[in-house]
Amino acid sequence: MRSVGLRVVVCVFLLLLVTSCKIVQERPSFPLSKARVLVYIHTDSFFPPDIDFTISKIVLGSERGDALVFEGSKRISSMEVAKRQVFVAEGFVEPGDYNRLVVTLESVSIRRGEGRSSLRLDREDIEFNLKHLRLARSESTVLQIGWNPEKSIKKRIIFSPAFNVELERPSARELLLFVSNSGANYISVIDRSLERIIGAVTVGLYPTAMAINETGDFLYVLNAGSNTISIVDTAHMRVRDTINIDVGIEPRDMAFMPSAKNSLEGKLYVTNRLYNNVIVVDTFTRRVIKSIDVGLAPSYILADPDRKEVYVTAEDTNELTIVDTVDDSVADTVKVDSRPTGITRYNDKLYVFCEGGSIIEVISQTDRKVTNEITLTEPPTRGLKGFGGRMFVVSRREGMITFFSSADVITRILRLDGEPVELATDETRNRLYITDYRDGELIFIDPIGEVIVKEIVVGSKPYWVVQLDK
Amino acid sequence: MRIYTGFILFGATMLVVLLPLYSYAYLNARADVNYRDTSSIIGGVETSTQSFDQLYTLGVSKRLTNTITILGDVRVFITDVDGKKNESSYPFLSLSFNPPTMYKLRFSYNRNESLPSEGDRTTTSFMNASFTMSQTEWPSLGVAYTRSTSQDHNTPRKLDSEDSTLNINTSYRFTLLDTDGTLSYSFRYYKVEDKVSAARTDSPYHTVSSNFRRTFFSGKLRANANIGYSYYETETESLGGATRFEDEVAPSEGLAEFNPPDATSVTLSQETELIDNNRNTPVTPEINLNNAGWNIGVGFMKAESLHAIYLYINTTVTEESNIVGGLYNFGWRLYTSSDNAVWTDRGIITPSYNSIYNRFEFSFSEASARYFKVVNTAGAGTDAIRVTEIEGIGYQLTIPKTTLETTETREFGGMTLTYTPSKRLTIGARVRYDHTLREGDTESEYTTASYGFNTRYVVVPVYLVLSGDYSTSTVDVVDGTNTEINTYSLVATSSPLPTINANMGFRSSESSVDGVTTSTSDIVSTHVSMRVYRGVDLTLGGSLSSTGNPTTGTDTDSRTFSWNLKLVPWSYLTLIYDGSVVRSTTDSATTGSSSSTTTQSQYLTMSFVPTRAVFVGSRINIEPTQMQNYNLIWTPTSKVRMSLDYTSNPSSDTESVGTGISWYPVRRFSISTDYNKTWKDDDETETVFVRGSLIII
Repeated sequence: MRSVGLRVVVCVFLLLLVTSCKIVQERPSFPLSKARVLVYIHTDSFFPPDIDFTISKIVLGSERGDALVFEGSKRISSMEVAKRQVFVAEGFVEPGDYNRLVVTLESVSIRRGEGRSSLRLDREDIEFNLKHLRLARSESTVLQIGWNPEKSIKKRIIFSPAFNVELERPSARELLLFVSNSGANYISVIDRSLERIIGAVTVGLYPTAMAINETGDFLYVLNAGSNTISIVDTAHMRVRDTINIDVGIEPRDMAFMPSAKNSLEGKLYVTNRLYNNVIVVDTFTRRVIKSIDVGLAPSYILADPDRKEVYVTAEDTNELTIVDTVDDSVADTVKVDSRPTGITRYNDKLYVFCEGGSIIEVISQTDRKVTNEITLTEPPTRGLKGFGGRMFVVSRREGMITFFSSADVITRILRLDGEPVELATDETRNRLYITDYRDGELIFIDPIGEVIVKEIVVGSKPYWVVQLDK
Repeated sequence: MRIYTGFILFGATMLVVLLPLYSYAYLNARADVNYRDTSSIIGGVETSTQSFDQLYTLGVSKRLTNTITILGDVRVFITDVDGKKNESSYPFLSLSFNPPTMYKLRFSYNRNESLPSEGDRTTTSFMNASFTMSQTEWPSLGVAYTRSTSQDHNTPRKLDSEDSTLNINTSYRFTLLDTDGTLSYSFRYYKVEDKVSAARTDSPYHTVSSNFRRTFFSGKLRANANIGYSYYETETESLGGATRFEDEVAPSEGLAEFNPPDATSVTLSQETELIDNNRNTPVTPEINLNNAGWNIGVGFMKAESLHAIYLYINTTVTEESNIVGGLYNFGWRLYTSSDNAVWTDRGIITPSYNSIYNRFEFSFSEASARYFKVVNTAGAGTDAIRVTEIEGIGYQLTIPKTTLETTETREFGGMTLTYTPSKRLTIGARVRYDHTLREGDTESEYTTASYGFNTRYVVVPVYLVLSGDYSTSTVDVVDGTNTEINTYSLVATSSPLPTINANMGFRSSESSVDGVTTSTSDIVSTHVSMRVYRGVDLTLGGSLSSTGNPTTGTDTDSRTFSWNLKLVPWSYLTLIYDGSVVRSTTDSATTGSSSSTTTQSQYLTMSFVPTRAVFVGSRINIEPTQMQNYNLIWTPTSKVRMSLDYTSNPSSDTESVGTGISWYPVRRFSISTDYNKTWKDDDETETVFVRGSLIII
C-alpha cells in the first residue's frame, strides 16, 4: 500500500510539473520586495473642537529623492480621532534611509454652532524631520501622527495643525497585544495602555495563529501561506528566525507547550487541516520532530501546561482528541456535537464550542467525559474564560458575542456587525479584544459594562489576537 | 566531526547547485548561542550546572521558475551540559510548485541526525508530498502522503520504525433549492511498523459527512442539519518472543541391519515401516530385541541436530514389566554417520523406558548428523520384544504471531432550528444523535442522544430581557450504564442606565446513571456592574448555589459574593481591587455531620505607564495566600530594554529578585542577559543566562 501510494503521488507530481511550467504563479496582492509604511493618527484630547481635514498626500523624503506613501483623499475628523486611533494609509516604498515626512492637507473645516466653517491652511505641506528612519526590504513600520486639535487653530480662521510624528519604537512587552493579519504578511503590535497600534512586524505569508512562550520572550507566528513559523523577539519587535514546517496542508492553528516551568523553549503543536494531523516542532532545534494523526479536519488546538496535554478539535468527525505531550501520542478521544471549532479551559473543565450544534460541551479534564451542555441561540465559534470565571463567546457566522456570568448563565448578547474570530483579555485594564475578520478591525470591549468601547483598523483579515502579560 | 563535515558538504552542495545561472537566490546564515549557569545551596549542599548551546543555520531559497521554488537549510546544534556534548544536524529540503490558482504541489524532506557524546547515533526523517486543488466551481481535492522513519545505527538495531500516512480529502459546496450544502469525503490510511519488535499496525479510516443550511420566511427561520458516517479499522500484528521446544525431526529413511560384522562400517538397509507413524504394529521382517546386534537407525535429508531417539516396541506385559524393573541390559551403543556407510561410535548409552508410550528414550548431548543408529550389543527377554517405530528428537524454534483487529463504525447527525419571528423573540431547538459500534478485540457500543430548546425575549429593550434554555442529553452504553444530564436556566437582564448593567439568573442541572440521580445543582446568580464615575468602575456579583450527590448523600449550599473596583485617576495609572468570598456548608445524610468552610480571595494590581519608556507594575495578593510582586521595565532607547523584578512570598517564605538587559545595537546582532536569585532561609539558587544572535548573511 505504501509503495503504491508513493508511486501514484510521485507520478502525478512529475506529470503536473512537466505540463505546467509556464503558467504564471499566483502572487500576493502586495509587493514583497518593498518596505511597508502604515500611517496612523491619534490624539490625547478627550473633548477636541470638531475639526475635519483631508490628507491628500504622504511622502517620505530622503537624500536620494522622495517616495510616495499615499496619494488620494483621506478625511480625518477630530471627533473620530478622539474616540480611537485612526488608520490613515498603507504604502510601499523602496528600502533605504529616510529623513523627512511630508503630509499634504486640504479642505479644512470646523463646526461652529449648527454649521461648519472653512479654515485656511497656513501651509499645505506639513514637513517633519525624521530622526534616521531606515527601512529594510519587506520590512513593515508604523508612523504615528499625534495631533492636538486644541492647539491647531490660530486667530480662529487659520488651521496650523499641531502634529508630531512618532517613529516606531517598542513599548514594554508586558503591555503588548499582537494581531495577525491573515490577508497580508505582517502582524500589528498594540500597546494596551495606550490602546493604539505602535508597530508592525513583517512575518511570512498569511499569518494565522500565534503563541507566546512561557517567559514571554518570543512570539511564534504561524504563516499559513508560506508554511513557516516566524519567531518574533517581543522586546524589540523583530523577527529573530524562521522555522520551516513544510509538512502540512492548510496549517491552521498553533499552541505552545513549555518544556518546563519558566523555560525559554518548548514545543509548538500545529494543526494541519487537510493532512488531518498535528505536527510537533521543537523550538530548541527549530525542527519538526513528529506528526500525530488526529480526527479529520483538525481546526483548533489548546495547550494545558499543567496537565501536559493539548486538545484538538476535529470538525469533520465531531471529536476532541487529547494528546499527551510527554510522548506526543493520542491519549483519548471524546465525541462532541457537530463542527467543534474552539476550546477554552477553566477549573479543570474544557469548554468545546460546537458551531454546528449551537452548543457548548463542558468536558471534565479528569474524567474526559461530557458533564454538561450549554445551549445557545447563535452558533459559537470561539470563546474564552476570564475575569473570575466569566465566559465570552463569539459567533463568527452571526457576528455576535455572548456574555456569561461565572455561573455560565447568559447575561447579554451583543451584535458586533462583523466577523469576530478570536478573543483575548486584559484583566488589569478590564478589556476584551476581538478580531473582526471581515472589516479588518480590532474591537475593544468593556466586559464590565458589556459594551463596545472602540474599534481600530489593524490590517487585512485579522485572525488571531494574543496578549503578553506578566 | 561527522556532523561538521556533513554540514559543510550539504551547504556547499546547495551553494554550487542552486546559486549559478538564476536570479532570486537568497542565502541566509545565522548563529545563536545560549549560556546558562545555575548554582544552588540546598540544605548546605552546593551544586552547580553550566550549559552552553550553539545553533548554526545555513539556508538558501531560490525560485527556479515562476512557479517552482526550492528551499533548503541545515542546522547544526551543539549542546554541552557540564562537559557532556551532544551534536545534531538537521538538513531540510523543500520543493514547492504553485502554478495556477487551481492547484499546488509540494514536496519536502527533512532529516535529523543526532550524535550524543554518550549514546547511540539516531536518524529521523520526514518526507511529504502533497497535491491540493482549491475549491472554486469544482470539488476541492487534497492528496497527501507523509512518511517518517526513526533508526539507530547499531547492529542489530534497537530503534527502527516507520510511519506512513496517505490522506485523501474532497469536498463540494453547492446551492440547491435555496439550500447551501457541503458534501465531504475523507480517507486516511495509516501504517506504522516497528521492525525491531516486528509489530505492525494498519488503519484505514473513511468518513462521509454533509452539512445543509437554509433559511425560510425571509430569514426568520434558520435551519442547519448535518449527517455523517465513519468507518475505522485497525489491525495490529505483533510477533511474540521466540520459543524453543522439542519435536520430532521429520525422517527420510528408516534403517535396520542385523548383526553386521563391524558396526562402524556397514550400510543399513531401508526399513520404511520404522518411520510409518505406526507405533503399534511391529515392522516386518521383525526386529526382535531378544537377539543382540540389531542396528536400528533413522536417516534425514540433511544433517540434523538431535538430542534424543525414541524407539517404540511391542511386547508382552511381563516383558514390559521386566524392562521397567531394569532386569534387562541391552548394552545399547549410539552411532552417527554422514553417509550410512562409515559410522562413528558415540559410546554406551543407557535409555530410560517410558511405559506410557512403550518406548525406549535415548537422551544424549545434542549431536548433528545425517544418520543416527542405536545398537543392542546384548539380547534379553523371553517373549519377543519387537520394534515398531523409531523417531529422532530435536529442538524447533517458533515465533508466535498475535493479531488484534478492531473495527469501529459511527453514525452521527443533528439539526438546529432558530426562529426569530420578531426582533424581540428568538426560539431555538436542536437535536443530536451519535451512535458508535466497536467490534473485534475490544467491543463496545454506545449511543448519545440529546435535544434542547432555548428562547430569548426582549420584554422592554435595554431595560428587561428574558432568556431561558432546556437541554437533555443521554449516553447509553450497551451492556453498560445509561447516563443522563438535564439542564435548564432562566435569566433576566437589565441595563436601566447607560452606566449600569444588571442581570439575575437561575440554572439547574441534574445527572443520573441508569435512572438513579447522581448529582443535582441549582444556582441563582446576580451580577451588577456600574460606571460610578469617569475612571471608577465597580462590579458586584453574587450567587447562591445548591448541589447534591444522592449517591453519597451529601448536599452543599454555597454563597458567593465578588467585587471588582477599577480606578483610573489618570490615563497612565490603573488600579484594581478584586476579591471574592465563598461560604459553603456541606451536610452528609450518611454520617449526619455538617461542615462549613469560608474561602476569601483578594488582590490588588497596579499599572503605571508615565511614558512610553517606563512601565511599573505590581500585584499584591492578600488572601488566601500572601504574595507581592513588583516589576520595572525601562526602555531608554528603541534598542535597549532593562527590567527589574522582585517577588516576596511570605506563605512559602521565599523571595526572588531578577534583572535583565537586552540590547539590539544593529540589525544583525542582539544580546541579552538575565540574572535571577531565589532564596528561602539558608537555601538559595542563582541563575545567569546569556543569549546572543548573529545574522551572518
